[in-house]
Amino acid sequence: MKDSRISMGMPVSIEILDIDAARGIDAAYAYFDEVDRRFSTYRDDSEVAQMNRDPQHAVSADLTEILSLGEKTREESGGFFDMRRPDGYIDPTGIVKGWAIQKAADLLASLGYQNFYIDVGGDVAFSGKNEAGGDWQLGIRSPFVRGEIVKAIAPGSRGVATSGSAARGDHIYNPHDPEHPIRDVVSITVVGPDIVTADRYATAAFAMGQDGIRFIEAIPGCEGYQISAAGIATMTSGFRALSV
Amino acid sequence: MKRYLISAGLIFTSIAYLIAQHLGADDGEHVVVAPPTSTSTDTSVGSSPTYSQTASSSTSTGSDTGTGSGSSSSGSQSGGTGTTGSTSAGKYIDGSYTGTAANAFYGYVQVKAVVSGGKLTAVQILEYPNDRSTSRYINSQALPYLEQEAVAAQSASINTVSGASDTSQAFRESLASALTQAKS
Repeated sequence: MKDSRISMGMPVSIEILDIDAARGIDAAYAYFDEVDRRFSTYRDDSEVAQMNRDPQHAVSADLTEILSLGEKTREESGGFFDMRRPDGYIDPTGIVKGWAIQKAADLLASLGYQNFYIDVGGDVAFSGKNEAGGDWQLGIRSPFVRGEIVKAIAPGSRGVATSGSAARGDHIYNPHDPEHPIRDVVSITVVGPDIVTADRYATAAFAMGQDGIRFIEAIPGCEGYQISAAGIATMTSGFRALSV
Repeated sequence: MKRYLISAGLIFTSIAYLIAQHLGADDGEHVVVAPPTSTSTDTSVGSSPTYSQTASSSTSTGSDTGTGSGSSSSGSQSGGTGTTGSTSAGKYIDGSYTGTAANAFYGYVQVKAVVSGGKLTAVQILEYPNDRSTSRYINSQALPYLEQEAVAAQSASINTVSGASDTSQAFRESLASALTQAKS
């Protein structure tokens, strides 16, 4: 059973192949609604908004986990990933997305579901097998032609995240040069051991421009597919093996 | 400039001397010596890049004493890895032989003679020190090659997609229609 909705301000699709799928789908969307209430930067009463208004205010265990993932990513990426906006606002959105997908996947697993995927705004966590009994097949969208797929991969149970500029304008910027939005790379897709890893590294890599793919190449367990504005894709050395 | 020409010429002399020493009574083989990047035009020291084993006249100047600053004399080959080979009647012994460093105006030049099948098959000019350190630096900066391809539409059967979401416009349209439904 597959269900697509707008959740956390993004298009979300969840497909569960096991029996009693409806229950799992509802549980996952209810969880995402809670994530939105707690961590949205568009809500004045979210934990994130409260933290930014009052940095001395105690933060929850979940937000602590999110913030420490963000700090770790900042260090690992040499500052190309930075939750702190130029105006000083701490925005953990780049971490929350992958983190929430992983939590929802864990929730489904705890409810007994084994064969499913969760797709939030183009970032996907997979579990088990598809309807044909084989590996889930994922298509990488063309950044240039709507509806077109430019690459098909079988990521197994890995997480896949794409950072790119075709979505909602240049919302990803380089913290080292915030005046200039990223232009030369239009999208980078990262396949990681889990969706949290894939998501945070994809965000960091995109902010690096052309060097992003080399950052991914240097990370063991991660593969990447980077598409330039000229339509040339550069892939990490282990990416070809994921292609179908 | 003149000092340079003389130095370059002496290098050729030392090369020629080296070769002449080891040429056996073979059938007039010719060896080609790759000249350094700046070739000398001073013909008096036989700067032609081609030597035959009988053209010992090309080595007339200074060959008796094997002089020239730092050039090998009497067949000494400090830094070489092979034997000197005895007389002009014997064949070469296979291997690589590195001559001493000859001090030219622009730096040191050293040659390596390669023998295979009993014949002198190549003579390499080894250039250093600046060139070597430069190439070492360049190699350490070399980045690994990452495969590239032009993106093109694929028609594979897939279960779901990843990618930068739909364009801003499409996203807004979709959201607007959903919100419209939510209102009614």
